[in-house]
Amino acid sequence: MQTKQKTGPRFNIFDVLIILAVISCIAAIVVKVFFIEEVQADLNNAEITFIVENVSEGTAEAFCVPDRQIYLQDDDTQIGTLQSASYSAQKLLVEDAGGKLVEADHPTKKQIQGVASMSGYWSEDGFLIGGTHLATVGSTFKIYTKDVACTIKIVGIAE
Amino acid sequence: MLQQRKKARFNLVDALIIIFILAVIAVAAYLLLSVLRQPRTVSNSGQIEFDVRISNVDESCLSLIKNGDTVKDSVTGAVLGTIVDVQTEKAQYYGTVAVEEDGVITVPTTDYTDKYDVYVKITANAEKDERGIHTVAGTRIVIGSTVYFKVPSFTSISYITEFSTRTPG
Repeated sequence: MQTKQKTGPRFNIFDVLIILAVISCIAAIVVKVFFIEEVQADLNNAEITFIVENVSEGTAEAFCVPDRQIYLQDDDTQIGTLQSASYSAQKLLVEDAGGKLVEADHPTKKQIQGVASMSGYWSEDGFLIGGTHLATVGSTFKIYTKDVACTIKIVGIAE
Repeated sequence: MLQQRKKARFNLVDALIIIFILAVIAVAAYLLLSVLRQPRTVSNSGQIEFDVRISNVDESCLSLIKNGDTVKDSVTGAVLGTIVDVQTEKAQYYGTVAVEEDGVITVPTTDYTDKYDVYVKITANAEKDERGIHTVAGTRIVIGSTVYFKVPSFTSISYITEFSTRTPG
C-alpha cells in the first residue's frame, strides 16, 4: 500500500533571517543616500585659517596666488577657494649658548599663513568640509592647487 | 513498497528571496555608479619639463643619476620621463645651537662633505585636465608633489620643485 506524503513549501527560520538581512541592507542604503543628500543641500561657508610649515621659498611663492581652487589629494574633491596667503621665515626653537631655548628663523624654510573659504556642514563634532571631512583646529589635510601640493594645518575656523 | 524520491521544489519563498537579492544588487550597483566621481576630461598637453629634488644623496650614488636615463615611478612602474639635466649642490646641516650676531639670533649651517641635494630635470609627455592641472602617468605635476623616483640603479623619494610646459617647436 502506498502512502502519499505531501511535502509543500516550508517557511523556516533561515528564510526569515535571510529576508531580514536583505531588508536591513536596503534600509541602510536608503538611509545613507537620503542623509547624504540632506547634508549636501544644507552646506554653509566657513572661513578656514591655516598654516603650511617647512616649505621652500619656491613653494611658498607658488602657493600665494589668491582665488585658486583647493582640492584634497586623497580623492580630488574640491573643498574650497584660497582667499589670501602670505609667507614668512619658518621659526625654529634652538638653544642659545646658555642652553636656553630661543626662537630663530630657519635659514631656508618658510611658513605660509592663509585663509580659505570652504563649504561644509556644522556638526556637534566640528565643521565637516564638503559634509564629509571633519575639520577642527589642529587637523591637517593634504591638499593641492593648480600650482602646489602641500599639507595645511588648520588654526582657526569661523562662520 | 515504493519509495518516493523527494524532489527539491522551487517555491514562493525562494522566489521572493531571489527577487530581494537581485533588487539589493541593482540598488547597490546604481548607487556605486552614480556616486563614483566622473573621470576628469583630459587632453594631451604635449611636452612638460619638471624638476625634482632628491635630498641627502650619498656622494657614491651621484654617478647613478645620469642624463638620458628613463625615470620610472618606483611604486607603479610607470614611465615618468627622461632625464635631460642633473645638478647637484652640497646638502646642508642645520645646527641646534643658535649663534647671535649683532643682536640677531641665527641658525648655523654647514655643508655636508659627502651628501648632496640633487636636482633632476625630467622631460615627459603630459596630460592636462579641464582644471589645467598636468599629470604624467598618474603623477600630478605641481610643486611639492611627491615623485617616487627610480632610474636603473637608484631609487629615492623626490619632490617637484619647478615645472614648465613647452609648446611643440
